[in-house]
Amino acid sequence: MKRILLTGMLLASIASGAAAQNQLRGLSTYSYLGVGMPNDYRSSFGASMGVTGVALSNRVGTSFANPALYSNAYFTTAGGGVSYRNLDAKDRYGRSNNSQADALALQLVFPIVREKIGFSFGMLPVTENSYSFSNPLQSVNGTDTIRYISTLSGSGGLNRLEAGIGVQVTSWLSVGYSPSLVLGTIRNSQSVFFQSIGYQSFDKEAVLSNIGFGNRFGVFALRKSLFGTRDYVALGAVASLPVDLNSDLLEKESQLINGGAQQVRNKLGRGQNQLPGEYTVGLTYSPASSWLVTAEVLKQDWASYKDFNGATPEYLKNRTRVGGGVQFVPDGRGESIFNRFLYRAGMSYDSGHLELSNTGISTVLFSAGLGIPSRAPGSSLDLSLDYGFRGTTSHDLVREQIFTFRVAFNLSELMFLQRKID
Amino acid sequence: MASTFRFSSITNVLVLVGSLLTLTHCDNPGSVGRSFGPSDPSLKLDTVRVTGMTNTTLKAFSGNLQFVSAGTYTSSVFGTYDATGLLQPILISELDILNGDADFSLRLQFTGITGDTNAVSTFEVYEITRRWRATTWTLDSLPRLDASFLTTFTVRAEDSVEVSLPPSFRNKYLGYQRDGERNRDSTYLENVFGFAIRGVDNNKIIAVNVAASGMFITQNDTTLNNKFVVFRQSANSLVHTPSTMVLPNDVTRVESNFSNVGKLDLVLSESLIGARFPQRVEFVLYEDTLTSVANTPPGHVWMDQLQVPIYLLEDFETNLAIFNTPNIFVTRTRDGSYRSNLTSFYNSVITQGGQPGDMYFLSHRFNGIIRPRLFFNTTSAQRAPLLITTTFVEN
Repeated sequence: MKRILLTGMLLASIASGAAAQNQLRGLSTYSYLGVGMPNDYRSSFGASMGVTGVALSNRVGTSFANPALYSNAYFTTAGGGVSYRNLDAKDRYGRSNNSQADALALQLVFPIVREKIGFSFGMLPVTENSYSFSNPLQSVNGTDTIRYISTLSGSGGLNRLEAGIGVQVTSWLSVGYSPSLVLGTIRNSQSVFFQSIGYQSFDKEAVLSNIGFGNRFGVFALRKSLFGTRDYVALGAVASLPVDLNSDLLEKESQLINGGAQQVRNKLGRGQNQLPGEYTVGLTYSPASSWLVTAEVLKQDWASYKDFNGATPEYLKNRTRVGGGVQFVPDGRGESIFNRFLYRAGMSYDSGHLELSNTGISTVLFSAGLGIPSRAPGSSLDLSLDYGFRGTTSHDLVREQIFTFRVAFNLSELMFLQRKID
Repeated sequence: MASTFRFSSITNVLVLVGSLLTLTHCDNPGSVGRSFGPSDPSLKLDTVRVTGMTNTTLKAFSGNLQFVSAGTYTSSVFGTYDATGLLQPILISELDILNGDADFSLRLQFTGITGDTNAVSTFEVYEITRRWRATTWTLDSLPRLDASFLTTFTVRAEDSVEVSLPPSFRNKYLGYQRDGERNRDSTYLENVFGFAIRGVDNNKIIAVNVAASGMFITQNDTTLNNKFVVFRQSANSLVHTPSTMVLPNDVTRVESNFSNVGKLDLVLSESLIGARFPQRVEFVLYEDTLTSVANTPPGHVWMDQLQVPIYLLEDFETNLAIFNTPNIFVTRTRDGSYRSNLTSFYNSVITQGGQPGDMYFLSHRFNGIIRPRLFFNTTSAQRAPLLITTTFVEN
C-alpha cells in the first residue's frame, strides 16, 4: 500500500507539472470550439489496440472503460501514467508545432469480494480545451501604423471524478454502475500587447466553471469455449448518460493603466451546459491464450449538446468512433525478455464531433504498444504510441499530425489478506 | 537468465518519464486555424469633436519667468507688443573683492528674437527708480524708470550681447557692496532696483534667458578674479494693442500669456469617449499657419517652442492668479497639428470620478516668450479641435 501511495504522490506531482504546462501552450486548434475536444478514455492496454477497452477483461490492470469490469478485481490496484503529445498542425496560411505533457487518468480499484464485487475510484478527463494563437497585427491611423500582437489561448476542460462498483451476476455476466461528479473549468483568454507606443494593452479572460452529476452503466458478458476448448468471446457495453452541467461564466477584463494592472470589468453569468450521452459497444475474441482480437464502436450525441446559452452550435454533429486491434502474447517460456512482453497494435477512425464548412473533422490513429508484466503479481507497465491525422487543409481548415507516447502503470497489492511466510 | 521486471524499475521509469516531460515545450504556437478559431479584435478609430471654444482672460504673475522679453513689434495679425524686461542683480556679499575701477557690463543671452531678423534694433537700458517685487508683478504693471537711459545696445540677429554699464552705476553698486554695515543688503534693495530693457525701434523683441544672463564685472587688478553677478529677480511688462484685422470665423487668436486664453468645452467622461478604458485617447488642435504666414513679412519670425499647455482650472481658480503648472502639453507634430495622448489623463479622470476643472490653453508655455497663434475653433468644418479615440471591437 505504501508503494501505491508513493506512486500516487509521484503521479500527482507530474500531473500538476503537466497542468501548469497546459496553461502555457496549446494543442489542437479545434479545441476552441464547444467545450473542447472529447478526450476519450482509453485503458492502458486498450490504448495500443485503438479501443477504450469495454470488452477487454484484464486482471492485471485497472480500467475505467467498463464499470462492469470492476467485478474482476483480484488485487488492490492503482493505475495511472503520463503521456507526451506532439501535434504538428498546418493550414494554407502556415504551420505550428506544439507539445504537451499530461497525466493520464488516475484510478484505484479495490476488490470487495475478490473476482465478484469490485469498487473503483478515480478521475478521468472528458474534454480538453487547449489552443494558442499568436498573431502580429497592424492598423493604419492616418500616417501612423499601429502594431500589436494578439494572443488567444484556451486551457482546461471537463473531468469526471468517479466512484463505481462492478458486480458479477453470473459466471458469465457482470454489470456495473459509476456515478460521477463531472466538473472542470474552461478558460479562454485574449491578450493584446501594443508594440506602438502610447496605446494601452489589455487582457480578457472568460472562465466557464462547470459542475454536474453523471451516470455510467456497464455490462460485460463472457462466453468461454465457443469454437474450441481454449477460446472465448466477450461482449461489453457502456452507456454514459447526458450530464446537465451547472455553469458559471466569469468574464474578466484588465488593462495596464497608469503603470499598474487594473481589473476594469467583471461580469458574472449563470447558465447550463448539457454534455451529450456516450455509448460504447465492444467485442473481443480470443482464439487462444496467445492471441486476442477486439473491436469497438463509440457513439456520442453531440448534436444534442447545449452550450452555456442553451443553444446547440451548428458546427457540432454526432460522433462515431470505431477501432480495433490485436494482442499477441508469446509463450513466455524462453530466456529472452521479449518472450514476456505483450505486443499490441490497432487503429481507430473517429468521425469527429465537428463539421466545419460542410467538412467533418475526422481522425485516424494507428496505435502500437507493449505490455510489460511485473514480477510482482498484478502489476504491469504499458507503453503505447499513437500516430495519426486529424482534419484537412481544404476549406481553410487545419490538418493535424498527431504523435502520442504514453507510459501507463498498474500497481497491485494484496490487501486485507495475510501473506504466507516462506 | 530469466528476465524480470521489478517494482523499483517501474518507479524509476516513471521518474525518468516525468522528468523528461517537464522539458517539453511549445515550439511555435503560430496562428494556424484562424479561419474558424477565435477572431482577433480589430482597432476602431472614432473622432469626438470638441463642442465649443471661447476666449477669456485670466490672471497671472509675470515675475521670475524663464525669460524676459524686451522690445517692440507689430504684427498685422496679432497687433503691437511693447515689452519691457526687468532685471535686478544681486549684491555680492563678500567684501574687498571688487576693484574700484572695475568695468561693469550686462551679459545678455538671447533664446531668440521675434520680428525682423534683418533690421538692426536699438534697445535702451534704464535704471528702475522704484522698488518692485517679481512675485506680485503682472504683465500690465509698469516700472518707474529713470528719465534717461543708462546705456543702449543694438541687436540684429545675435544670440548674445555684452552691454557696458557707465561708471556711475559701478560707483553706486560699489557704494553698497563695500558698505561694512550688517544691513547693507537691505539698503541695496531699497536703493538699487535694477534695470529695465526697452526697445526703441518697432521691429524686434528679444527674449533674454535670465538664468544664462547676468552682470559681469571685469577687474582691472590681475590679483582679483572677474565676477559674474546673477539676477536676483526678473519680471515682464507688456503693453499689447490687439490687431483690428478681421479673421475668418473659424479661427481664434490665443496668446502665450493669460490675457487671451482659449477655453475648451471638453469634459472627458465614459459617455463621451464610449469606452471605460480605451486603448488611446488623443487630443488634436489645429493651428491656422496659413493666415499667420501670409501676414508675416519676409524675414520676420516668431520664436517657437512646439508645445501648447493646457491648464485644468476649477471655477474658483479662474478668479485667482494662476500658479498652476500645466496639466497637459499638446505637442506639434510633423503634419502641423498639435496632439496629446490623453489616455493616462482620461484613466485618471475615470478612476478619480471626474475631470478636475475646465480646460484652458495658451498658445505657448507661459515663460516670458511672446508667441501668439491662430487656432481653428469648433466652427471649422475640417480642422476643429477633436479627440481621436482608439478602442477594440470584437469581430
